[in-house]
Amino acid sequence: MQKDQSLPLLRQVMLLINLALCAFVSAVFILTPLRAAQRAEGVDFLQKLSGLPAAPWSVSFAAVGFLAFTAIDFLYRSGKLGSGRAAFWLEPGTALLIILALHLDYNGLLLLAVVNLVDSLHGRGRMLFLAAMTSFYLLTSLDVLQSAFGMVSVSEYLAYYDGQPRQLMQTAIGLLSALNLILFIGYMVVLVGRRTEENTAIRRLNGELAKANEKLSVLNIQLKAYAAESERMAETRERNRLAREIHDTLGHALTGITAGADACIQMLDISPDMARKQMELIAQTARAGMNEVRRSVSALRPDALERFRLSEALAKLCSEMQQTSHAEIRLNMQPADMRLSQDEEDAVYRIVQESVTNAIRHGHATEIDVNLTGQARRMLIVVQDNGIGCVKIEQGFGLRHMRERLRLLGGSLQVNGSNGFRIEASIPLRWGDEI
Amino acid sequence: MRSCLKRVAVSVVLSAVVLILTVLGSAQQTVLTVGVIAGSYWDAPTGNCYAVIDAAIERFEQAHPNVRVEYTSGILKRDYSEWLADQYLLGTEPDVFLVMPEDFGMLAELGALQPLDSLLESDGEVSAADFYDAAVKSGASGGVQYALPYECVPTLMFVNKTLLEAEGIPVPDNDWTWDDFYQICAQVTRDTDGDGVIDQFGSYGYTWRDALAANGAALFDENGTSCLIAQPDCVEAVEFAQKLQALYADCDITARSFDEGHVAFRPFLFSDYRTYQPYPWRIKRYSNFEWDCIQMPGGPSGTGRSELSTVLAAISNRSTQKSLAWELLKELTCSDETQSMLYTDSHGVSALRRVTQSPRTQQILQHDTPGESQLGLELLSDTMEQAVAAPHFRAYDQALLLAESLVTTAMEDDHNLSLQLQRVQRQLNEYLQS
Repeated sequence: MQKDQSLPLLRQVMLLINLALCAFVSAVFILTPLRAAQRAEGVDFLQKLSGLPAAPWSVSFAAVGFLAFTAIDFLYRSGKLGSGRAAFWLEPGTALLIILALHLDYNGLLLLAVVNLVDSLHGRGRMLFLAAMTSFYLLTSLDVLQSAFGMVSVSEYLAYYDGQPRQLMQTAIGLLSALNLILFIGYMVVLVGRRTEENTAIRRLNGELAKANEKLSVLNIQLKAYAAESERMAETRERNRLAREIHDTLGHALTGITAGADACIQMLDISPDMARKQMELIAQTARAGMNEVRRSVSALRPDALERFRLSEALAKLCSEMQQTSHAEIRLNMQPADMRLSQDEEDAVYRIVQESVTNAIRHGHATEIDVNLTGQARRMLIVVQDNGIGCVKIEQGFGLRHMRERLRLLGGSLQVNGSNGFRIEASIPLRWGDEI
Repeated sequence: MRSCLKRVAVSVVLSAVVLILTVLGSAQQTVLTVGVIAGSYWDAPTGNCYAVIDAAIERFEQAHPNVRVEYTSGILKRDYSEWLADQYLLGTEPDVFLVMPEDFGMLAELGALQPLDSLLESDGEVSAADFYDAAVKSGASGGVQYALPYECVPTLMFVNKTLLEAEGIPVPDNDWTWDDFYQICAQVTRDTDGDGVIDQFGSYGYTWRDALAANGAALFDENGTSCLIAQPDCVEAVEFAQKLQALYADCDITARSFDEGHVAFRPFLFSDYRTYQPYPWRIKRYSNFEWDCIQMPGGPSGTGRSELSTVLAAISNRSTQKSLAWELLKELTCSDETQSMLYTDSHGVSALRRVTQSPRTQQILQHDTPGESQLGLELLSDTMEQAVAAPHFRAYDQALLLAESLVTTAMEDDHNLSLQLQRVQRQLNEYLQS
């Protein structure tokens, strides 16, 4: 708070000193001739001068000028004069007029004008202003100019007085001028200091920004590590998926082969022909399983889905299972053609495949109902069998994989083993509104 | 924002208009001020010392109906310099004023006087050639004409005719020389009553400065930057003065000696001559001898004869009525009416050739001069033509005082005068350049 006051305070003190100096010099210019005339020492006084002294009343211009200078400064500062170039140069112009009225003897007023105005300028404008004021200052310091205008300097006026008063007055003028100069330099130093502080603050902020950037880059590295980590996790997930895939395809085919082979063993004695047919079916299932494995390794997509639409692929799956297991599988799909994305189709196919396989392998069911219904933005898969069911459901590999698949799609799974076995899977559909 | 600036501008314009109207209103009756000296500059007693000025002002006011001319009366010669200086200091100096010779240098150097060259050039009626050279030169400084001569007074040689007649010597001609002068002085300087004490003298009051003027030599250069006393023509003049002075070694000559008729020659101001010549002054002062005036004797090297004393008239450089002031200055210095009044109401000589040489002036002079006096137009005009003007610079009076004492000391010394004058010249140069 104290800092904010120092510049205006310096300026005000400078204004007072300038007022005192101008008043003093004016008084010398006015009173010296009057005194000489009053004491009838006019000839002595004139003899010592280099030129005709100005008439005393002419100095009153300086007083009027100083009033105008102060008023202009106040108005300009409060913004009432506008911000045009003319309004700006009004103050230095008045200062020059006062200096002329004071016989070019005191030009410290230009320093006050600089102090008053330097803060309102920036960049090139300020450089130009300072250059102009410097040249004015130098120009008004020239004694040559003084004598060219026929002006008599204040020291010549003071020469009229006796030793001690003259010294006193010269000292007063010298002291006040020096004080004015010192205040001017002080003002500039404080101003430059203020600017330097601002620059330091800007540098400090820049430093903080750099630090934040550094932190950010560390975070970036961490993020990269995290990405690598998640890549590894994706790899693991993929491995799990492969395992699931192997279980789904190979497990499914082997279940069919095992069931078929059992039937074959029983039928071999009764009807060799039937057994042969059964054997061919087993071989077919084994080949299909083989194909599934190959496809799993290469494309990782159910072969049927690769070649058929979901409804066709499901129908094919059900008829194949029915043939190898002798269980009656009824597929009901409402509506028949649902537009699902690839991963949803994969999941639906695998869930149906796993449920049917489980019903045959573990439940020894003879009737299996598969219902797929699309409701608003949700697909419901219900697989109900008439098998033995189970009181306590053992979470096997198949069931766990089903849950995982569904979780990836944001769906849920409910199983019930009290009346046969019932699986209810619900998948939220991304294209549900277009069903 | 702008409106404030506008308001300031409007008020400035308004006050300027009011100021102009005031000035115009007062211009209905323009007042010119004049500075004049009360009494004669040469201390000659006069009747109405303002008669010439008053008449000039009256003529001027008649020619310029809207102008009133004012002056402060009663400023004596001894107060005039100070009065003028004070008026300048107060900024109230008159528009036109008389300038005493001793003030001219200072005022011209201060730039207090209006240069007249361009006015003289553009004015068809007046020319510098109308004036006698020395007179117009007294108003110039540094090659610039700052003032015009108002009234001049030359120095003449006062001759005791009775004494010369008694010695059997005729009154010298106007073109007489130093040799004639010295010869007569040497002849008449003797003891008349045989008491062993010299009681009759050739001259009184003829100084080395008179000799300098007679020899066309100058003590200082025009700008007052150097002293010329060691120049050959100066040395010659001082030598003559020394030689003349040697005639009266150990004698006590006073003004009283001349008044009582014991001195043959005495340099005399024309104004004194004019004062004492007419009846009753003539009888009152010099009742026991006949006297007359002739020119100062000429030196071998110069054409000049005597130094001319001139009261000038000038215009203030700060006058606001310069063209009117110029008209008034012309009325004072260049009009035949004013200048011829100098011969009737003052004791000086007009610097205007045509006035001084006019038959009317001749008449006036003859009317005042009884008998077979030599003073006539020719003598006066010749004297004016051959006079020299003293230089004008600020330190002139002080430098002259110093020169008087130094040269007098040098003259009293018996050693080589030329060498001593060189020393004097060096000392004076030092003073002038300090």
